[in-house]
Amino acid sequence: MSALLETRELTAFYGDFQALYGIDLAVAAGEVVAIIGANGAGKSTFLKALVGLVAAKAEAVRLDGAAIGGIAPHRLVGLGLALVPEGRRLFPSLTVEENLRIGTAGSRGQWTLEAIYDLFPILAERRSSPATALSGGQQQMVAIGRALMSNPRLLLCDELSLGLAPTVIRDIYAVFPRICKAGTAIVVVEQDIGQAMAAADRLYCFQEGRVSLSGPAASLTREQISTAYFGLH
Amino acid sequence: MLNLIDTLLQGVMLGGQYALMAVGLSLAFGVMRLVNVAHGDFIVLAAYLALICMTTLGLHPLAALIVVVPVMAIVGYGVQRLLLNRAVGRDIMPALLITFGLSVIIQNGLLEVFSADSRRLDAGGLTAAGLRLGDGLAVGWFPLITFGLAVAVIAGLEALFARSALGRAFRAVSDDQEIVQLMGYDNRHLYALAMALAFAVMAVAGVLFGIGTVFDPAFGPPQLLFAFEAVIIGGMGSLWGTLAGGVILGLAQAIGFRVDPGWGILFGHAVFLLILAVQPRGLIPKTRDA
Repeated sequence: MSALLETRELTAFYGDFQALYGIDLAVAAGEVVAIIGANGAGKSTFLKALVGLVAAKAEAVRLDGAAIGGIAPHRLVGLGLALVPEGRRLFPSLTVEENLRIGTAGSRGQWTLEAIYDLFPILAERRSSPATALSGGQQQMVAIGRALMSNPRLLLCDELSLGLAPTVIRDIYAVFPRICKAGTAIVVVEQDIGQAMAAADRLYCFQEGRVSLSGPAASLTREQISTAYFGLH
Repeated sequence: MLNLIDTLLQGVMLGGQYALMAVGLSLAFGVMRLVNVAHGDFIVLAAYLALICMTTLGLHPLAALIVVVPVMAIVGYGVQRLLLNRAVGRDIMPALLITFGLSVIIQNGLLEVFSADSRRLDAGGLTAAGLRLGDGLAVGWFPLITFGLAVAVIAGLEALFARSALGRAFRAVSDDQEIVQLMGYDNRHLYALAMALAFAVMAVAGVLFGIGTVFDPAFGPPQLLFAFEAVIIGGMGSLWGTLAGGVILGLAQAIGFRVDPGWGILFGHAVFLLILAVQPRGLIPKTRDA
């Protein structure tokens, strides 16, 4: 498998506290990879290290073989990395459409404003509203749209389902196949194991900053996952 | 009656000057959430830069803007990029201390180079010429130009913020300086650009201030105070609010001067305190937080 993204022995620290103890993970083009794990397992830290918000060694993160660890966050979007942050983090001073436009970052590709409105028609109706006036699910759509506007090769999604109703979560995950069709890979951090197994091709389970289990989503059993998740034996 | 109209007119014109001085402060607070204590001193510095242009190049003070505005913008970019970016964050204290230090350095530097003598930027007949509006009622061309410039600058900045990609980025970095980086913007560069813009407006304010009034190196702090009052009265971060705040402050001072020549400044402060007590967030507060 030729990896789009590959991490090798990725470590991360918050001051003296070590959050990641050598993560090895690979994502191929067009693939959906889910990362599951308990609170504090290092899932969000892992995504932050990929986009440069947490320091990482250059050699620890490779995109298409090129070492990109520790590059400033504002340079990564040009390389094809986009993050849907935990809690959405939309810009409250900007309208829905402005939030989408600012995501463009000078890129060109299939994900234009029209394509996003086609993916999430409700956003076209609310385009002039302040972004934070929308419902939680609609805000999550804006956050995904904003990330897609940069036409990323790798879309990173942190806790998409946080605080959303199950039907809304299903609607949001339903667009994944359309995103992947053009070769975009998705890494999704997810608390909901059932949702993660349904949406992902492969699964990684983190436990205390280490990978405790990985494999094709279809081949893993519930027992294996709960052991890896909670560390029970 | 004519007296009253004249007083109000002078007050509004004075307000235009205060608003122009306050725009840079409002801009820096709106984007960076930092209060520049050296704001008034940089305005005075701009006036001295214009003085240098006049004596060495023989320029009219308004023509000196061609030099002073870009120079001040570069100074603003540098101050933000090299100094203040290190202090931007949740705590506003470090930025206050740094700019307080800059204020002391600028005042003493100007004192060393230019002495404590009062100066004025001689604009020829411009400050004496006036527009007759009727019997016994006239308004000076210079205050009119100042007021017009204040409105034009604010309208221009509002349009920049509302419509341009750069304005969008300014609003976004003010909202969330971490996430804006993932949109491909270097937040340190954005902050420095916003400060450059603020300093460019301060340069205009400084030159007009130097034409209209005598100044010396210690004139910065009172200008900071008036600018601060205009910003607070209008509401933090709102530029039209800053114009309204400047006009209210100017009106209060003009009315105070009319009541008793010693009460003008006091009236201004009293109105400021009154509005602060009744409407602590200012008249047109801009809520940027969700």
